[in-house]
Amino acid sequence: MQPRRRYRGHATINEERHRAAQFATAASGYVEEREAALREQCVVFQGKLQAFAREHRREIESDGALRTRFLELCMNLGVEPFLSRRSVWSQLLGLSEWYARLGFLVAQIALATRDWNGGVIRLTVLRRALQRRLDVDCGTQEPSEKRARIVSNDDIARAVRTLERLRAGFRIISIDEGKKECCLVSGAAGEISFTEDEKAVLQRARATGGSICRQDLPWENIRWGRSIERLLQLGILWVDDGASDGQRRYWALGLIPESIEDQNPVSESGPSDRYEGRPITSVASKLP
Amino acid sequence: MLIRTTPVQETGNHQPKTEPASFAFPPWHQYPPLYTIQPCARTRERQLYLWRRLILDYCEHFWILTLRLYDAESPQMPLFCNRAIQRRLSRSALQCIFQELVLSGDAAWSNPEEKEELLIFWRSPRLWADELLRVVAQYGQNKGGVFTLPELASMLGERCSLGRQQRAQALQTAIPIAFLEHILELLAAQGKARVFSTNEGRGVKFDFS
Repeated sequence: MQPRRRYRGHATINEERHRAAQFATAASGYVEEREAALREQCVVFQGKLQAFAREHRREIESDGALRTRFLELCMNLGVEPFLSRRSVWSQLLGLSEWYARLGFLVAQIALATRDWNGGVIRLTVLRRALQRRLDVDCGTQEPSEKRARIVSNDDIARAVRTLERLRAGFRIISIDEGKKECCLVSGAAGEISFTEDEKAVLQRARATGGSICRQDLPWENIRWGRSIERLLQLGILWVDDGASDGQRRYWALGLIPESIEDQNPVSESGPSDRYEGRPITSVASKLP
Repeated sequence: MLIRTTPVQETGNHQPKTEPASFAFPPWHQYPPLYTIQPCARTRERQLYLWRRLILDYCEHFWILTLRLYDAESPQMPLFCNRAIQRRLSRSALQCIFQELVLSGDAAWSNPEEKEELLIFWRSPRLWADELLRVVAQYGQNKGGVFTLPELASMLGERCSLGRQQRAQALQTAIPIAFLEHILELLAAQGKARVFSTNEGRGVKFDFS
């Protein structure tokens, strides 16, 4: 059976056009309505987030886990409150200040210890130094704020990212992919990048308490010499000829577990200007 | 039974009287590579700076005005050797560091040919010269006063106000003659003092207002 054919007349077409126009106006009205509602929601949400950040600022700043989750929330919304200082969000949330300050402290510590370690500092050492400085800062504030904010490695990573824009070579470099422990490289020689061999030397030195000697790595002389020479030139390694076994040892002062920075508050003119002669037992006990 | 620790044998003439432990060494004194002169120029510069600062602080603490290379080498001198980590500065390393002190103006050889005894200026020679003039003026001897060098040395040692706190613990309070001569040279250049030799020894005549 043939389907019945319908012929569309003038009136039908007109009516269709009219209806389409009506739909269009209705739709645009609806879209506008939705948009307004969404915008309103956004404003409300923004307000809420702001209020939350303001209200719980201390918790956000002091509680690492909460901060991480809060930041994840911001990230999921496409908001990165720390990297763009000029963005509305950073001003709204008032957290970027804290990271900028943290970044400033990181840079200060890295630069003050650069003569020692060639710019390479253990993340744990850096974190302890940061914590100490924050604690000192808190000491001058009201008693309720006496409890310093706990800095996590995550925070340092974020703070260092804010420094990256300075193009001074501040960067977190992992010398051992497997482990979390990393090194921070300050702008000692602009952009330092390590070859795999150099990383292996540093990794080995870290594992043995900061020093390494020829026997520690079964390499050919050329390979060994090239890596050591570059690390010496960068000021990361120091030569030590005084070992009792007569072997020349190389020390990476930035990789000694308890570094100078640990005991000495950073001063502008370098660590040597203040003496707090606490003996470093960990170094003495690890000597050959 | 009482157990007594034997006092440290004093070998040099400027050994500190108090126990060496009363001086707080900087943390890097525990770092083994600091006792080897570094081959890399930038690191060495830093290293020499640290030693220079430490020597000046140490000498000021114990009111030491002269250092002899021979004494510096002896294990009695805790400044240049660290038993805890079994490291010490070798003679060549010491010479390098002393040379750095001289080049930076913080010290001078008492005899530049011999290079054995070092005069340490933890206060600049200018300050010492001003101090000497002040002491001489206190005695009213600034116009034509005549002193022998040992006389002047003990006088300055007694009345000197530089490093007064440190001097309370110091063994030797008299100013070494070589040190005094260096200061007098400075004053002679300004025309405020004149060193002369007689058959009884050397003397100095002051003339300043």
